[in-house]
Amino acid sequence: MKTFFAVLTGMTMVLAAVPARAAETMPDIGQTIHVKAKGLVCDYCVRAVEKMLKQRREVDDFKINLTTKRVDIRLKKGESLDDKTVSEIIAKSGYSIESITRE
Amino acid sequence: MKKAILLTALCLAVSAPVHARMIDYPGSWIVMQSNDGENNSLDALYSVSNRHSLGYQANFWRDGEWTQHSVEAAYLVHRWNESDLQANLFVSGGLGVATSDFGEFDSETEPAAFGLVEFDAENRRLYGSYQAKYTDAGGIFDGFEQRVRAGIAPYVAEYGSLHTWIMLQIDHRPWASDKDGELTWTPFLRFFKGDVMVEVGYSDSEKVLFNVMVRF
Repeated sequence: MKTFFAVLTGMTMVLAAVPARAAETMPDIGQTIHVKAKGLVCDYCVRAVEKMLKQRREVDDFKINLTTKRVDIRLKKGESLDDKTVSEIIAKSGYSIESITRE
Repeated sequence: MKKAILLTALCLAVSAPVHARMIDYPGSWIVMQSNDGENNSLDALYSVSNRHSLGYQANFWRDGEWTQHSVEAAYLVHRWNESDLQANLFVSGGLGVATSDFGEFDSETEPAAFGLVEFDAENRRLYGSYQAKYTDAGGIFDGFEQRVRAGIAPYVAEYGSLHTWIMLQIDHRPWASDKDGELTWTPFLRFFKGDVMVEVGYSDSEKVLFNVMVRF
């Protein structure tokens, strides 16, 4: 009987630990915003977009592609940026928005 | 006092600077150090908004041995953003003082001002710009100059890579003593990576062009 309880306790502890581990390893990914912008031609000037995005606490990471003229912005989990704010960031950086899509 | 501040602000609002991008994102600084056959200059500009910048410009004109210190301001009149092109129209200017100890000048100091208009257009392969500048430094100097720049990128670099441009600068400075009103041709290379841009060239007057621009 003692052995049964010991095994049961052990199994309970292992099972209890599983969700905790899963939560620890779950990637902390938020929404991704895809911005297509006009005027993204000069690397030196596009740095402005980088600087502006780095100032936003909502932004986890971003990628700028001069060939596709796209700025992909990954938000921190639980954070959001509405289209108006995204447009303002891009406009203050010196560019115009062509489209904004989200996933 | 309010009138004086307003007048100064208006004067600054219609004034302008030099080279490349004069206005950046709000809260940023651009520092440019430029050297060509005639002039050494230093610009430090703070972008108040994405259309206005304010700063300081120092110029040393080697031929006439005179120096100009100005408070300068730049304004982005219009920007054209297209899918594969960006073009800009800037105006800029400055108010300050000019000093000279050259020739008949004996530590003379005069009020000085300059005004500048610049247009540039570029895509990832081609670049072109035109700049016209008028400087009035009282009895020390009074002159107009204009500059055309054209460039081609030998390869299209991705974001974050080293970008290289093969460029040509043509200066028209009618008052330049060694040119007798002729044009000065300066082929040069432009490199930029990250927040630093460097230009290195050599003119047909056998003088070095070396410009550095840093943003932070």
